[in-house]
Amino acid sequence: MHRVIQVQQQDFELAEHYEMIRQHCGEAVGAIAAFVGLVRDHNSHAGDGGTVGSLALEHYPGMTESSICQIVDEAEQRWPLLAVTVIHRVGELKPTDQIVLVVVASAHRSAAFAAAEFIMDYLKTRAIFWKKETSDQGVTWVESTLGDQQRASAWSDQAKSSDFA
Amino acid sequence: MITVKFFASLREAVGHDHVTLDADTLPRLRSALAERLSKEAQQALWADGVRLAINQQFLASDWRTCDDSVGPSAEIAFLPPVTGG
Repeated sequence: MHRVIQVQQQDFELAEHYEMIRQHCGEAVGAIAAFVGLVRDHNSHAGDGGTVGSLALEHYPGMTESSICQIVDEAEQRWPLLAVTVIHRVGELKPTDQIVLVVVASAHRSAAFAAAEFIMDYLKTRAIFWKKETSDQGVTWVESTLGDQQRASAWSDQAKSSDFA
Repeated sequence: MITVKFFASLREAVGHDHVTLDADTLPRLRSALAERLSKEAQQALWADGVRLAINQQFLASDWRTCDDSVGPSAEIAFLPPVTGG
């Protein structure tokens, strides 16, 4: 399977990565699902959502890339995939900036959709990134939300309860 | 000597992104950190949810109670809970 995993400060171009995947897949490809995550202008803390001025994302070079690789490995074991691209930005970001790109190619749309969602859910909870928010209410390190953890653990419950693949 | 790295909130609590220490086991690492760091920094490192990686591999057990040895030039990292995406 063709894979690209990059952690970078610079922005990315969806069209460029989509084209790259399309070139690599050859004639077996039937579906390409792409997801782009953007920085929201409201923080995720329940109740007191302040307006976010900027985000600073930090990672552990080397270990962060291997944590993303493991997530892609798991997706590849669950679904028949032809190619996966994951780009995650680090550094200073502002609301509406692109922060993460996931592109998944497969022969069929169900695998492409599901694997893209799976990879995003696990990126939120398992990939090694830390987010610091500067809002009108001060500067805080973001904690992983209960909702994110539940979304990720739903995938492992699904694997245990059926042979869904 | 081993290198001990601190990330995100832990780096801010400790005041350094890394320190070098002489320690060949985790118990020795714990006592070296306790000697060298402020009470506040120790509280942050010893908090629940903090994970330790040795040469970029997560330690499977709790670093606060584990007795494993570490290699002579190991890279140790303290990681607070992650928040990606």
